[in-house]
Amino acid sequence: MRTRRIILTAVTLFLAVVGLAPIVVMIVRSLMVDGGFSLEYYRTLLATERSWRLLGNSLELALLTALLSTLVGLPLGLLLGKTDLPFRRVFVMLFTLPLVIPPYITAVSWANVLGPSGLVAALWSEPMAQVGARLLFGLPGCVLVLASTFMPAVLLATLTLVRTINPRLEEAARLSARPLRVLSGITVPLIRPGVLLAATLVFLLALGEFGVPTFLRYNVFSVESFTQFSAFYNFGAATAAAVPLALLTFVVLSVEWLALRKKTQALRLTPDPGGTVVIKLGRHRVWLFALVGVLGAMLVVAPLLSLLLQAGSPGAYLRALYVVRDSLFHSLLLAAIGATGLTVLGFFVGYLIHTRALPFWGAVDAGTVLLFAMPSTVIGVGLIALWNRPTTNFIYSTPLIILLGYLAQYTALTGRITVAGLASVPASMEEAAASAGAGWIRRLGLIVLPLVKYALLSGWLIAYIFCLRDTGISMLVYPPGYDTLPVRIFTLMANGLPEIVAAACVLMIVTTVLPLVGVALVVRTRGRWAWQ
Amino acid sequence: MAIIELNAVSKAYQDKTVLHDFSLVVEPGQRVVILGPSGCGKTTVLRLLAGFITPDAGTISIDGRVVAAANEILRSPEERHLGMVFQDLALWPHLTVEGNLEFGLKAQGIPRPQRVQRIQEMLRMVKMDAYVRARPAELSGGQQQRIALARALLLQPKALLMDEPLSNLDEELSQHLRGELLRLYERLGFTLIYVTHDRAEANDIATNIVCMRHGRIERSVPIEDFDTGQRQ
Repeated sequence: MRTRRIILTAVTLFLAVVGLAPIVVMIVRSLMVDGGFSLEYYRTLLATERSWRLLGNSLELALLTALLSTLVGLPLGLLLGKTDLPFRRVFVMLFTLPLVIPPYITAVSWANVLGPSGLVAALWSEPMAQVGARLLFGLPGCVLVLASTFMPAVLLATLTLVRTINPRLEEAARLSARPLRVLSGITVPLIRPGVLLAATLVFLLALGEFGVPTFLRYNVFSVESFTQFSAFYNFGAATAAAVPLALLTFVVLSVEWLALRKKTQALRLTPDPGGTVVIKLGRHRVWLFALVGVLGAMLVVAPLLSLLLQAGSPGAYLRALYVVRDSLFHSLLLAAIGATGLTVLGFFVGYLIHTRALPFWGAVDAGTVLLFAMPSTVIGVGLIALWNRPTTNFIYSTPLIILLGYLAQYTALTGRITVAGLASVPASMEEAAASAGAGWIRRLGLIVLPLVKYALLSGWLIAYIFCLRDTGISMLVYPPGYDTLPVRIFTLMANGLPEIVAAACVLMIVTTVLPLVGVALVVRTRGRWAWQ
Repeated sequence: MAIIELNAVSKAYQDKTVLHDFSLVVEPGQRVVILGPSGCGKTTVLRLLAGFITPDAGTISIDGRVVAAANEILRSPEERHLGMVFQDLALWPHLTVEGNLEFGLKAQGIPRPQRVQRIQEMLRMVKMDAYVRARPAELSGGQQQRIALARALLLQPKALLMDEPLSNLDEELSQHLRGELLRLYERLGFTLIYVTHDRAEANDIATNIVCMRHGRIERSVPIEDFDTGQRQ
């Protein structure tokens, strides 16, 4: 028991230093001018009309993105999770694709469709292309790109939630009502808290996104911090610009926590006798299949196809590979190390949350979720505020700082996956080992770890994908000469040849999607997964 | 005329046959108890009747009309007009007691004033009229049973299907609720098909007992002959 307490406390302290300390130091730094307390940065920030406009733009963008993602993701999730629509698994993989690639790459691909020299311009008239370009470069384009990127979060949440519903609840309703009424009266209300959680997450992710608004020239608040730091080298102003987003994230998550948490947990307590009630679409099957197919083609296939067309010849790929080879290597290495660290950290965090072994398990749970939802620019600025000093230069000027950023932002992912994996292991397994005289470390190594190894493996793959696609943290903190692939592509977008940028984007997508294929193969091999 | 008729029905899940050539006739007003050990196919009979699954062979008729044939559902669950009380009761946790009872009436297009009246009557009948606004989680096990029963009976079903509804209760409460079920039966006169593995429960409730084992009927007798047969 003592070993367990010491190790779990150490893990919590480590997480606090890696994730929480940067935010705290950043807030403190934003309140200091020339070594003394001052609200000068905030005064300047809040006094300018531009700041308020940017904040308004950010909120508008985040709200519209969350709304559109929910309006599309929820019905799509119900169609793919509750009906006998053909090729459901293929559609799920197709619609999930934009979530695993950096959002600004989706923006580049959309620019290849709607931009001045894009597919629409090539296939239709010039005025049509102008309309498309006008819509793309601005709020509608940002909403379109971010909604297509984050909509899969609502879709996946819906798919997961409908599987947690006790099928007897729907069958009881089927005795007196048609499937559509059961869906609207029973199924959707039951999953509503979970869907709202997903929508909140989309809101926060869109709020913190800066790559897409930068590329599509829509001024938002998240860009401000990045600009203050990288363009004006005004670190105090950068920290002050990051704090409102951090506070907003904290407030939104707190409201969500208070309003929805209890309801979602009530849903989780519902027994799961297995299986789900499938709605037979009958004569509606064909047109709904066509509708989903067209949506998939428009939202995912067309933009990606435009990248392939733009890249053109194999020569472009070779040249792109030559240009990005170092960054690609950095990305793969950092993602592999980051995912391994996240899996280890996530295991202990997940174990703590699942077993509630220490009184502050709830704070650890909330803290990891808060860090995951925090805009990456905030975490990036925080990391610089904490580690950019002579004594810690061995962290700040090396790739270690990127790895710390990954650990800060993505522990919630591996932690949650571990919790899901542990939920399928009866507590009696560990108790039996304890009563046989095994210590905690031995119990973990010989009983718990083998039982959750596939959950940990899937956690590693998910973490690997998220580390690989990370742009915000890497962009702010990468040490000289150690940029990652997303950062290199982002830089190339400013001055690179379009076909090289497109080819580099395709390389990025392939590198990210390969592990996803691995996940699919593992899932197929192992059947049902705890983390699903 | 029989209210329910299963004729040579078979059902398999993947490779495992759970129901073999099962035939059963239920007359109006009968209280048929299907008795058997876990996994003998009792619940499958109820799920076939309710229309949640299709038979692999045979036919199912309700009120003289074929509602399901081999691999084919001819009448969907809501068109069969059956009530069901599930083993875990399946009360909708997001709705109040009133909401749970109102859902079916609303789906059938019954106007609000009539809905309210029928709900009040039914809740009075099961002695739960003080809990209209309560949510299922706020009720005790016995109270939840009463609401599940009220919800199933409210639509005046052609037959009431009950899938081991008392299995999770202690003996005293179970016995008490059996008494209440019989009182409701006396008052409303419904047809009942009740599934259990408990002989005492079967003895208390049944007018007819069907003993099942390994997906087949071993015996089907009126309750008066049940004990005689057991002794033999």
